[in-house]
Amino acid sequence: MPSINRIILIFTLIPIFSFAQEERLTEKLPELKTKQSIKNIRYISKDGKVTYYQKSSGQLQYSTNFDFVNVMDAPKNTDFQLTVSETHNQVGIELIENPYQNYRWQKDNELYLVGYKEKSKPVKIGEGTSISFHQDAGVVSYFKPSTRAIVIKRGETEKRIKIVNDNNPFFIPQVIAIGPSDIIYTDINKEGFHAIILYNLLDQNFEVLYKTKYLSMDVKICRHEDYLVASLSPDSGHLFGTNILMAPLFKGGIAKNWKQLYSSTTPDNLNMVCRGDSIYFLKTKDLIFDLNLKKNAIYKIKLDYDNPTPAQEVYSFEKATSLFELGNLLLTSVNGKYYIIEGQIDKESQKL
Amino acid sequence: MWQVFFQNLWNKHIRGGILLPALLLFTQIAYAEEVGLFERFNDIIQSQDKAFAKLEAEAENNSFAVGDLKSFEDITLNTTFINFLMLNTPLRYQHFLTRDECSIYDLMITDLIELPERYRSTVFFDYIDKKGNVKTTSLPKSRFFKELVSQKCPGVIKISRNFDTANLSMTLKNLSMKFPQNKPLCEQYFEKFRKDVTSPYLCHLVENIEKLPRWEAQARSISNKNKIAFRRELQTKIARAQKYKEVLTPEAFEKINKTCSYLDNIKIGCNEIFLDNYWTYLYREKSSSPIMKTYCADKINAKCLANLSKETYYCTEMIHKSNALTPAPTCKELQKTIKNSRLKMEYSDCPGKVGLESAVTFSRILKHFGFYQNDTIKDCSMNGIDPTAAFLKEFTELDQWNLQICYDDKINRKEVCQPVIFGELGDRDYSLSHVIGKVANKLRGYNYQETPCEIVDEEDYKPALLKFKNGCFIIKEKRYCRATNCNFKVIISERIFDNYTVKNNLKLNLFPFNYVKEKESLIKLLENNKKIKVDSIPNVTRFKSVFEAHPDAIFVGEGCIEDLYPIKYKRMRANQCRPVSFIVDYIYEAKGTFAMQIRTALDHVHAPRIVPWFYVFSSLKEYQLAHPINLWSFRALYQ
Repeated sequence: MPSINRIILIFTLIPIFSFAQEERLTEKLPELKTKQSIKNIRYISKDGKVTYYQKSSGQLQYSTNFDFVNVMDAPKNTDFQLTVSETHNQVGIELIENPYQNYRWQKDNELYLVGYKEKSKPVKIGEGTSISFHQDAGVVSYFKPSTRAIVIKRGETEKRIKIVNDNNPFFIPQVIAIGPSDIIYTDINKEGFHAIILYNLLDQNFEVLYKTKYLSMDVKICRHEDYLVASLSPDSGHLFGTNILMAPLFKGGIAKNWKQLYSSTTPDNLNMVCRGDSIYFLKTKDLIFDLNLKKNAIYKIKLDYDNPTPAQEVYSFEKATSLFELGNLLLTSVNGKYYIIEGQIDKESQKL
Repeated sequence: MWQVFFQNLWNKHIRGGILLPALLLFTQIAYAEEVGLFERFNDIIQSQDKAFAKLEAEAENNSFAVGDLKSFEDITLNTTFINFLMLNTPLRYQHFLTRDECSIYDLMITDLIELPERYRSTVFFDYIDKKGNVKTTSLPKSRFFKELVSQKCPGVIKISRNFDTANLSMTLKNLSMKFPQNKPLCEQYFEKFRKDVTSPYLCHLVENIEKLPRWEAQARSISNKNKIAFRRELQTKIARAQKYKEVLTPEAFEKINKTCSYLDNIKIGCNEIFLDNYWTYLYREKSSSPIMKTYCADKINAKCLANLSKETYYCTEMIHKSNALTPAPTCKELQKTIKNSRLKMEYSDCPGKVGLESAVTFSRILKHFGFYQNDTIKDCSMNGIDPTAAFLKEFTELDQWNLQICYDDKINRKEVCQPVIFGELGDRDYSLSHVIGKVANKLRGYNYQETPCEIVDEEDYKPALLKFKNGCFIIKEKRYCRATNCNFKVIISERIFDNYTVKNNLKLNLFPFNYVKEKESLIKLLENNKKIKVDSIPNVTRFKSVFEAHPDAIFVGEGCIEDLYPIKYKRMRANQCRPVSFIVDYIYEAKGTFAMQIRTALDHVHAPRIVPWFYVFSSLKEYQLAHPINLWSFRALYQ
């Protein structure tokens, strides 16, 4: 009998709980709806006028003002991952050949460059993953998983930085070029500690800008104007809290000038996004320790090195695990649906 | 006799479910009325004694001979006697009584019923005589078993003979005692043990061994020389228990003892068998296990155990050396996940050195179901690819294995290609040394069967050494060599041999990506050729039902890593999905929500992670929405 009662109770509670959950989601965060399948969209401009999208037949196209242009053709089911420079003059294309048939984590994918909104044929620049643009798109970087090397391209000149990490074959570093020859990137040392490294391409010198204190600490970086922002969050275990640090890039040594913008004893996901004059991140509000289950809220901090301000809660969204931008929107995704945290929604939704 | 069986059932459910609470309630009331518990217990004993005396008197009036019986079927244990037996059967052994109508005799013959000394030698029963009258009588226990039980339940006598001192060694040898390998199997093990016909006899062995020191002390302390019968009985018991002790290994004794002791509380029993600190259990009981090797390398000693038990990030550090995704979980989490693992993992792998993640997951699945075990493998990366290759060799002749070494056959004017894996795999056709040897034989007449080619790391190849002067050496660049993609050169008798080309376009998909080639996906091939059942798992309810119903079931899926491990792989843009396959082999529940125990193809097989169910669901859903045929990939696999 008790088990029957329990079953009845469970069936009574499930719809109530689900309904309550759904209410809270839709009430607080609007879902991004688009006229065409959102799964095809690869980029939207901040003003919402230009959209790059892929087709299952293997084409990458962009559309603007009811017109569309074919950017490139590839085999069926190719996945295109796009990076558009902040200056809106370059598009980096990573071409992943049918990832549902043949995704290999250490394979170098074909990488192309094409002018933004240009009809010219994309040019192959190399093989690797994770294209980024730096220095007003004058510098392009990508990572080669096969040889664990960061490639820095400036025009025809190409330099390679071999990362120290030799043990975690699935690590992909983040790269920021802060000057003609100064490259900041993340790496893992032989013992397994994550670190932020400054490398000079000319004299080939390394400088450790920050090294984590614990093996499980993960480091992410982003750039805000002339500052470097670093987030430190525990990747396993919940013993240590989190930090967000900031340092000026050109004021006499980065390593010496870290300032703490945020610290918490909670094991936050962070997954920060540098956006405008703020960073947005995920803070753990509640934790079910045995399940590694974190209930999150979205927070933001104004990036002001001289006058740091406390973090502010933007939304409480328990299931958020990621933050990313699409056009003018700051989004999070759950169960394949995208929810808008910040940004103009009407304009985009109507045009997509 | 059905009366006994039903009484047993009544005893199991009613006595535990109603009488015990009633008794406790009654004792509370009694306490309120200032009547002591001891007094109540005394009352029960006294009333039992009275009932027993009455029974003895009744039985004395009816002498018994087998010839008086109408039929052996008409013999039943006397109801008062059954109640008396029930009262004196330890709760843990009462589960044995529910098996069948003969089970009570198993308990009586094995002395698991703790009757007071004076009542042990007589059995009271009812029978119908030839005139149709129901009579109550008694027989000495030994005669009752010899004359009546041997007719009514011959199996009891047969099994008891198998367990006597003369036959015990042989019986234990033939009896495959399978102790659970991990915690999920533990509950099923207990349930099975409760129902197994040999279990009372196994408990009898450990009970006797346990009592041996007491009996020996008793024997030493007997001063009254007149107690000859008692002394003789004691000596018989001691001799028997010593024999049991001699035959039963300490490990088997420990496990059977724990099992028998906790038959009425499986949860505690499983905790006892699998110590809370699983590292201690592994160290003590399975120190040669590959799991210990992963975490202690060649120094499996007390210091390593101390590190595993106390140093939070010791395991993270060790996994960091093993070419898998890092950071791995903490030692505390790992001891829990390894303890709860259902996936068979008595081998080591290093996914980063395979270079083909679908093969890593599929090889783990094949090994779990016991297919293509290869004990000759020394290179961990081969464990992540060889079972898959061997499977495809058996069922497809490797016709889609587009990883080949090719050469120009000038005689037949055609290109000849051989499937290959870049590693040493003993006698497998696709072993690199075998393939290169074969090609060298064709083109240079090299006798590879007499002197096989040897795979050497670049830093170990010293051409000046005598051993490298003659023979065939495959020199690989360690940093750029994976099982499916490798930079290497071949030197035969100090001369470079490069008359071959490597073709590498190997594609293996676990799940179908279109309808036309659905049957070529690895899971479909497994289902069709190895008779493994494959069920789609849409939700936790279905997961739990399959998990509980099939002890060998494991679950496989493919999802987006950005949702599964969001800290390690942050989603940088919309629709970013790097597919990763994973195996789930346990589920955790807390506060009405769930988490899964996961090994992705990037994780070390000995480093499972606990991931909330909604991460898993989100990962599967995101993958499904982007998938060419909208595939929901989460499947249960079981035999």
